[in-house]
Amino acid sequence: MLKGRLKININVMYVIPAALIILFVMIYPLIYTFVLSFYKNDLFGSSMEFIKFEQYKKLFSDPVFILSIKNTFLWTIGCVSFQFLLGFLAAGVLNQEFIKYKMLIRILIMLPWVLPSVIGVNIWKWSYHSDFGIINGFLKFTGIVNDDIQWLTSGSTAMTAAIIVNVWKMFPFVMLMMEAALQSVPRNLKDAAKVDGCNDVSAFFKVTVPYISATSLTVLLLLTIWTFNAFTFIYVLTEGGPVHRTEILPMFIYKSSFRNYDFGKASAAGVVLFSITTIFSIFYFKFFFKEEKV
Amino acid sequence: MKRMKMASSVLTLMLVFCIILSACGQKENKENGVDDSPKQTQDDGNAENTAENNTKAETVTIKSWDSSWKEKITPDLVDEFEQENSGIKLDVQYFPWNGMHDKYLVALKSNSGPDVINIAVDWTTPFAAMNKLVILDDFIKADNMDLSDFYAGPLETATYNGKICALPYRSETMGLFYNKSIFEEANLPDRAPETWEELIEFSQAATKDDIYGFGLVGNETNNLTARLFILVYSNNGKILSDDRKKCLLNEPEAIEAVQLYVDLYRKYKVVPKSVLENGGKANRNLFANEKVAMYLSGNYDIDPIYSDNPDILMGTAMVPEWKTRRTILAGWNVAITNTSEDKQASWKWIKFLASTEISPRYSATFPSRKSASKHEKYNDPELKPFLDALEYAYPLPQIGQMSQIKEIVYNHTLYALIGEKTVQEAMDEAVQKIDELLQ
Repeated sequence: MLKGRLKININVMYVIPAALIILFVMIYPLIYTFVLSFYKNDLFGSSMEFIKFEQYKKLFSDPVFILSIKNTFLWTIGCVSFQFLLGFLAAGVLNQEFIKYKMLIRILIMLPWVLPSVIGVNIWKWSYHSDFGIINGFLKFTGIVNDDIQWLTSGSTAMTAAIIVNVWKMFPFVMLMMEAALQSVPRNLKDAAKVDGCNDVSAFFKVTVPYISATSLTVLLLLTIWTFNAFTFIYVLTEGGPVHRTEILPMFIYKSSFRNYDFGKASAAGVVLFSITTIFSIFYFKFFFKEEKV
Repeated sequence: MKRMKMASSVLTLMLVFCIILSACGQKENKENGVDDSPKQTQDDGNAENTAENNTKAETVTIKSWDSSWKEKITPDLVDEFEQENSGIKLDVQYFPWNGMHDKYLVALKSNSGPDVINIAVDWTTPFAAMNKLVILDDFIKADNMDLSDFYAGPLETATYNGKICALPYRSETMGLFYNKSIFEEANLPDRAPETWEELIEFSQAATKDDIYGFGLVGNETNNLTARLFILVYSNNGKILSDDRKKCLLNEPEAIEAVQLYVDLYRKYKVVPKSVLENGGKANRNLFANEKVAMYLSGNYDIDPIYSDNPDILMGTAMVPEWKTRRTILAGWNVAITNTSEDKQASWKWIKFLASTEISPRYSATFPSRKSASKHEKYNDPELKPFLDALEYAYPLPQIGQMSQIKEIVYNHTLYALIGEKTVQEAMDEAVQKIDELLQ
């Protein structure tokens, strides 16, 4: 028995380097953040002070934090639903037989996805500029509006403007994945459904949807997690402004630590962000991927 | 089940590991906090001896962090320094402005910084409050350095708890830029406005079509607060009480100043609509492209404006007067970090950079020494108002929490700028938050 235990499975050795790296660059910071969130730790204290749940109490009574949670949900739901819809529609159109030059169209649509985020977002930032932006220029030229719109700096449009940029950036990914999924649906099954009396719409729901549901769910999960943690877009476009209107959780965490030097508070907010994503993923896997397992 | 047990035991191990590590971190911090200054005096003597030995035996390498806009200036200075000090080699690294502060903060916090660090005046006190900068008093005494040659303002920025912890080499303050062509077209006199009232008047006259009278800053914490505080001080207002326990930004003088700042945009409408997108650089671009007639900035903007638009006809002046004339002092200091291995060699390097001969060359603007202001570099008439204004320039209150205070003031000024709150409401809230911070 003892001998059996001591024998090291050679396969384990292959995984150890990767496991160690993950342990130190992912698990360790994760746990350390968790630990930090129970300490008072700002710039000026020479030592860290253990304060139990004080940091969390402070956090949840901070209106800016509550607003940032609301913003995060608004941002995630807005982004993911439009990313998915637009990507799916584009994939559906591209999957039609009568479309020519598919490769060229695909490459053109993929451009936002391959462009580095910071560059893409900066182009948008200039386009949105209230005085000299191309968007206001176009709207005024065509007579749609008479007055300049302050896209990024008015509370009512800033979030929408940011969501548009994220959707523009990410929908090609959805398109790519969904097009591949759509192509995997066997033609003969669709034909058979039609022979059995389905029209185009019911054939879509009865044949195509079950085929692509697994891909859709994976894509949705990925999009949700990416969007939840998206930092570049908001950071470059508005830095969370005007006055916290677009401040999503990652931005709040950044500001807490690097602007206000409150590392304890930032860690606590980080733990909250981590918990929300984790809970979400667990629910998602439990409810949606059940059928897959069976 | 077995796997679960494994996982949980690994997690527990990691947790324990973390706690131990964080406890170690604390101990280290405490050591630094308590021991730094007394230890230093002993260190000093030792360091001198070892430095002497070193020159004969081996060379020391000093790691120095500099800003990316110095990449053309510093190498020459390094050569000169290394020729004078044969035992010392320099390893200079350059960092761009974006992210510079965050990088320095993280490096200092984790005790992995360089030997010498080039920092903005506003970072000096926070870094010193973290006990990350070496106190220089003993070096200064040993070398008989004459501190009275430094302007009082810059020296104040380098002082924390009565001790000098950095050497100032660059000092500057803001002035007013105005576009002569726009002024002529609007039938305005060929001079800058002298008071804030006149500035409003001139701005209104100059605002026409897509040209605006004044380039107000509505973005970037430091740039907005610097200009806002100039107004507060010019109106005899104060940011903090003398004992630094209370914020005074909701006193009538300060409110009046913030109100003027907001009114330029909301009431007089002499500011571009993109104000909330415009930081320091954006306003410079607007001015260089002749879209705004006036704006406030430092003399470092002169060259970029001419390189963007060589044909521009512009003038410079001191910041307008209100009840008094007062501006905010800004600049850069050089300091030695607490992790420096050879403090004596590091001291030689920062003393060299802040010297009368070198600091005018090293500084992108003006030097921090009176004796250096006669340098030929400063004969240009466009620079004169900026040099004159140094006399009216004072640093912000030197307290560790200044960055947070600026952030709060910035956010609440924005509330008023976008019209969500009145100036009084916004400032009352800001003061409440700042007072909490100061407790």
